[in-house]
Amino acid sequence: MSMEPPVGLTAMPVTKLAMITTLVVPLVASIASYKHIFLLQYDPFLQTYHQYYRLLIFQFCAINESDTVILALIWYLFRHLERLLGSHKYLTLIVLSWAYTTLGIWGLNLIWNAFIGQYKWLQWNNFSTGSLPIVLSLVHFYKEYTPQIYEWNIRLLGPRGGASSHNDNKREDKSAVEWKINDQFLLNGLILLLILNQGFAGILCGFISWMCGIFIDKGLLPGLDHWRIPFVSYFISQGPPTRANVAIAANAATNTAAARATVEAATAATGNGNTGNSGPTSLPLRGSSTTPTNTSSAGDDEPGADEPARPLGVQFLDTFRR
Amino acid sequence: MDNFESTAEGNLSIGNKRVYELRKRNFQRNLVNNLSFLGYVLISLEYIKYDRTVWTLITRAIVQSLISSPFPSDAKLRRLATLGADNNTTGVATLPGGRSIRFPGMFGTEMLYNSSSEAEQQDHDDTAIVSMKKQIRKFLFHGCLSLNMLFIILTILFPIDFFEPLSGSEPVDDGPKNTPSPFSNSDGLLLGERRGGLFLQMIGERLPKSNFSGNLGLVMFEFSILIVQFTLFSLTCVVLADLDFEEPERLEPVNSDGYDGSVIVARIPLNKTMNAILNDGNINDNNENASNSV
Repeated sequence: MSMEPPVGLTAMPVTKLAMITTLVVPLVASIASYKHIFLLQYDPFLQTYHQYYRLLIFQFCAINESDTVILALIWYLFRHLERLLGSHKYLTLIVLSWAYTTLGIWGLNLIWNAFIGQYKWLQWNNFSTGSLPIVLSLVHFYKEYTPQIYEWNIRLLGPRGGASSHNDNKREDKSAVEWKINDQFLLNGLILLLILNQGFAGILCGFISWMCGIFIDKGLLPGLDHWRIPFVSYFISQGPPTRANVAIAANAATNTAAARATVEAATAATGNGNTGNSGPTSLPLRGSSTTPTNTSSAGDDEPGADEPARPLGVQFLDTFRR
Repeated sequence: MDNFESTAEGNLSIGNKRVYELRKRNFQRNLVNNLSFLGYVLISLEYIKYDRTVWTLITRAIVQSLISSPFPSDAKLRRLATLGADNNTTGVATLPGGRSIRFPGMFGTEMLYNSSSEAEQQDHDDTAIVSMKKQIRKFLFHGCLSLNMLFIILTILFPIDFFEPLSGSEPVDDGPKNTPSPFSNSDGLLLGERRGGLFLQMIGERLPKSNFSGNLGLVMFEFSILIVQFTLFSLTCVVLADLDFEEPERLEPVNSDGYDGSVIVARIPLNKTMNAILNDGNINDNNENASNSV
């Protein structure tokens, strides 16, 4: 009945990877006291010390715990995008967003600080933390390609009368101020929390990233239509389980079972042949059951022949079997 | 042929309307769940970000849980109503004219006409259930509003000094101001960040840039919690509670079958919510006066 994607992360490896990265990297960095290398600021780190590696890694770790929680929830809500685009394209989109948003933010920061930022209090010093740029870039795709399911209204103003006649409804509707909200208010609320949680840096970097998302979608920033990130097809599943996929898996399982049956038959034949060829030698577990018959049948020809040597385990098993 | 076409169109319209209603009900449940989840997220983030006490977290979570599912099931309420009725010593006697009059002090074994008495008992139980639900709603309204207002007023009157644990080591003025420092280990801070609390928060939360911005953010969080909880209350206790709220008459006929994204799930009039609660109180007072006079 509902058009929502199923709850959970079945067959969504990219979303799993994003959530795990969002949660584990800050935790490990915090325990090992290395969170400071993910902090990106212009004044001491880029301008003075030229630590440009921070531009490559600042989106992997959110400094604050609240940002980490909000980002993990947003990545979970974005599972609909993976379901819509497919894992490979979704991963490509994430990588492109990471590259373009980093370049865009860095470039605009350099331009701003080269001209307007000469004055101290107009300098753009702080950057966002965590994967906020990637998320804001993906928000455009979510808004563009996810349909609205339902909407609900909140009437803020209007007459307080309880009458519900037709004329009253008409006049009420004309004078009332209604706030229309759709079913994506949860994602909207989380995005707003994330942006406001990081202050002015969040607002500025978020806007730049959102513009990057629009440009990626429209083709101004190339790559999404003709390029896929290489060497990752092996690790990404073939998509959500469908009838065709289930049939292919069943065929593979059947083939494997047939091959196993063939191997078992060959093993049994080899065991039988081995039993026939060399009686006195040490025999496998399967062939040991035929030894007494062979011995009794060959009793007249070899009266002095004793039982063949058996391992201790085989002796125990034969004892309990008889 | 015309009859067949009109019949087909009528059937299609009836089917669309039925599917629309079914999907609307399902979407209402989804809306309540999402709004409740948003409330829990805000409460947790306030605890994580501004280091509120665990009791604040627990109290807010309890209020949120009560508002999410305010009423017990009708079976429990019916059992409570039946228990009350069993304890009641008022009997019902049916006059020969068909009217039923309640006599205080009569015993229940003298009831006549079982079918009519059962029907009346059912109506009485339904009335008792509605009355209980209204009492629960009133209690939740006052509890939720009072608690949130209390927290907001306390935050405004007694702002938090976020830099009080940093009494020994103030950060330098021209350097990074709110960057955590490994030399700040004092009350509640570890490596210059808040990491403690009941849930062993290992990632840590930086201090705000200034006391003003910290307290402003805290007040904004509390107002957002109030707004979300009041909206959820309006949704679960007034609009979807089937007590005394009448959905406004639909102006345009519904041509949608529920699959085109234009399902209007709920229309929450916030002013009518407060009006309903206050009028409900008045109605209860009138009922009490009437019962006293009788």
